[in-house]
Amino acid sequence: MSRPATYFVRTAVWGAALIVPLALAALTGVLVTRGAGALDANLFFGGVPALQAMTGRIPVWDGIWPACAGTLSLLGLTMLLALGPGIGCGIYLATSTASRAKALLGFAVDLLAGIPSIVMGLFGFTMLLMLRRTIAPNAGASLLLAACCLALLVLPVLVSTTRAALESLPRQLHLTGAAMGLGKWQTLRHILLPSSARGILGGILLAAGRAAEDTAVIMLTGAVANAGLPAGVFSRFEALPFTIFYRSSQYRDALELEQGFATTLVLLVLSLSLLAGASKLQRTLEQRWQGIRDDD
Amino acid sequence: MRFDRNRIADVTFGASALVTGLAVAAIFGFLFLFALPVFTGGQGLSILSGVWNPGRGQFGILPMLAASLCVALSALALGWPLALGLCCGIRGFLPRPVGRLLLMLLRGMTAFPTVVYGFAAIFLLVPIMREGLGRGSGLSWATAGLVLSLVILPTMALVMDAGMRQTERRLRLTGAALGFTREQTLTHLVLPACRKNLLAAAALGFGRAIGDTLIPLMLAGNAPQWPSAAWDSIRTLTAHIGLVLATDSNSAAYGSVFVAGCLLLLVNVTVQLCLRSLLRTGETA
Amino acid sequence: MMTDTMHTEHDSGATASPDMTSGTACSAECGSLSGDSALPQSVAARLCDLNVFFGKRQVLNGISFEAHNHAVTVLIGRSGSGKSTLLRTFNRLNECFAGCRTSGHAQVLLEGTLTDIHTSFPEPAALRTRVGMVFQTPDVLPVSIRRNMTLPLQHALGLTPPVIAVRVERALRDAGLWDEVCDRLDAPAETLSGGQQQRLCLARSLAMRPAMLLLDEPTASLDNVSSRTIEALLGQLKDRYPVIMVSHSLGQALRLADRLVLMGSGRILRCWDRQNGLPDMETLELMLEETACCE
Repeated sequence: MSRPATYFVRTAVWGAALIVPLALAALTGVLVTRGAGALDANLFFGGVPALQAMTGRIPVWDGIWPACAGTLSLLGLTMLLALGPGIGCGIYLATSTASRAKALLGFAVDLLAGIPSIVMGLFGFTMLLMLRRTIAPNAGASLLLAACCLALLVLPVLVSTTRAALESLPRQLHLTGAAMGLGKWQTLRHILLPSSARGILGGILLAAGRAAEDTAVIMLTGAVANAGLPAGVFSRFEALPFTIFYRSSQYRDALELEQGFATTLVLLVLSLSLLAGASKLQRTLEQRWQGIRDDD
Repeated sequence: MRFDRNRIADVTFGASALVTGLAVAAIFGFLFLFALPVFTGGQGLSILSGVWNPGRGQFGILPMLAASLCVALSALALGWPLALGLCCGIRGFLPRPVGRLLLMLLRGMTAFPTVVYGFAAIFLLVPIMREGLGRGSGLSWATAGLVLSLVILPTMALVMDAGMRQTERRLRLTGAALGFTREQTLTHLVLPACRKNLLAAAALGFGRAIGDTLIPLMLAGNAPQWPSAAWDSIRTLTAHIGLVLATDSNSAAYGSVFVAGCLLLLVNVTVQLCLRSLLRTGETA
Repeated sequence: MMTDTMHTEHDSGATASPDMTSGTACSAECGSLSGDSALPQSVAARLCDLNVFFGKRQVLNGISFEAHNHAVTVLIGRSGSGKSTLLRTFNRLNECFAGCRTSGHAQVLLEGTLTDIHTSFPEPAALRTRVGMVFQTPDVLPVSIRRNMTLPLQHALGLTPPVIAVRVERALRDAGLWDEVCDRLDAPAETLSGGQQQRLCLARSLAMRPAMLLLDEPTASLDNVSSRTIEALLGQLKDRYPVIMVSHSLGQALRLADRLVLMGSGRILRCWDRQNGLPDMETLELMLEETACCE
């Protein structure tokens, strides 16, 4: 029993337990202290009355409302594109018995998960070049292109959480459905999917969080600093992460900088709420099936 | 009727699987396709040379590759021990409530957007590095490395924790029977048993670090030079891609971007293969 | 005389491609009741030379036996003797487990004729609507009591709401549960006690109007009082539905069985009929002990 080993680990433990929270507190502290002051209607609407701004009647030049709208539209479009393939793939991996195809697909999903976001953006850029050369010479970076790339980015999250949610159900549920005379799809639809719905929903929220905060992809596929409200899926758009990135080096005065900090707080709140929602859902799913797990 | 529905369902899910597989193939395929002309065309292997100077027609991206590796490895060097420390703390070295708080903190950190880390660091860390080191602008390898370690820490820690939790549960009684304290069980029994898991966490962290764009872009300075000292301004492959495409300067530079993309993909594949061989116990798929 | 054995490859998901000739009588190890030769009408289910493999492991070995109408057939044996696998043969539920291969003949009395369950049903789901199963641990679905009952009727049988409502009430009465739940049909099924849940599962099967009931240690997870209730129910139900069950309790087996089947190592070792006299408890216990050393 070597004392030194335990001592070494203990140092690492205390070191980490002090450094990490401290670092995080410092970073968050900077954001809050320098940004909380600017959290007001002005931040969002830049002097324009709220209702007119939100409906787009009057354009907002100095506020982050267009970026918020852009992020929300991007989120919506991305999830629309990613839900079908993501959940379908997850169901396939959880219920299929073709082991070769499963292994291959699982590897593909892992590869997809590991692709750096800038490379995904590069792929989008490549697609744009291809389109320009072939069928759509006037194609430009757009909301649709960014959403497609983001959908690819969050696909692995949807696949893994759907698969995990289905696989965490007790084996008996499959047997119950089969013994009742329900076919494979009927068992899935009426018993398995409703029972794992919370886990799948949690996965959707996680994916949404990932899509909301990503900057590298949208940087190359259509996000700009000033575009107003999203004018359609084929136009450029503003988004919160990009606005933050832009603001970090391009600010004209102290107010703009302060607003930059406030914007980071807005994005932070959005991301954390999505995560909190996802965690809550995952937790209730776990609790429900905890007592009835059988390990055969 | 029922039979048909089963078929349709099978086909639909199989189709989604196919779409996903094709997407992955497409990504790899197109990027390699676009990178190919660089080698078959005039530029040839000069892309992999050590000098980047567009003005003089030199598009070597080797410095960028070196920078990516340096930043990722330094982030790993700092982040991995911290992640391990936190895990051990959660699993027994620290009192229960503290451990629970730390776990919550780690989970929350996964939702922290990288761009926000970058933003905060620019205004907090950069001045400190500038004053503290006394040289350079504060935007450097060291700055990026420090923040990047914070970014990859939660992913690594959660992976380690998942593995350690199972193992600790299994070995707790054994350790107690041998007369170990909880700390000793962790140090001498659990950690060695989790070796593969810990290495996998490192591989995952490395992959994540080398693929990050925003932190190096915002904090590392972006000078296309060989990294030699910690306070040097450097440009990673990821930042390089972002810069070249965003500034839209010179299409001759595009070739380098695709090669950079391919290099990153190759790193990704290597990391995934390592992970697979480490977690061969049939974890994924 | 045995005819060609049928080899059905049942890797979970693959459908059967059988190669069967008409099922002729095979010499059943367990003969018929009280001197009557095996008249087809009184046989509710028949197995001929059945073998079941999971991967390389053989779980059932050359099983031949008959279960009769208006009777409770009880399978007993040590754990691992293959009783549950045998039970699951009748509704082809073994195919839900990976690597299952079944060979031999299995027939169930449906609409007056003994029907081969492999050749006549390309999709096992159709068979399972005709054969009801109750598991050891009550497997209520995480939905309301009403939905537990209506789900299979609606989706597996495709019945309309008025028909469903009638069947639900009838089945709950038959299971002795109606009075206890009629005013809270929309409550979650998990709020019922263990015994009530098990009766709900029984009612769920009864509502399908099955040709046969399969029960896998139905009272194993229940207390004595609930167990006795279920046993009484089975006594009443056997007149309308042939019952094949696995029992964990020798006492229960002796109370309920019209035919008692002792299994060991995947084979049928001995059968007794109530008419010819069932063994007493000590003899049975001794025999069970003996099966252990032969495994």
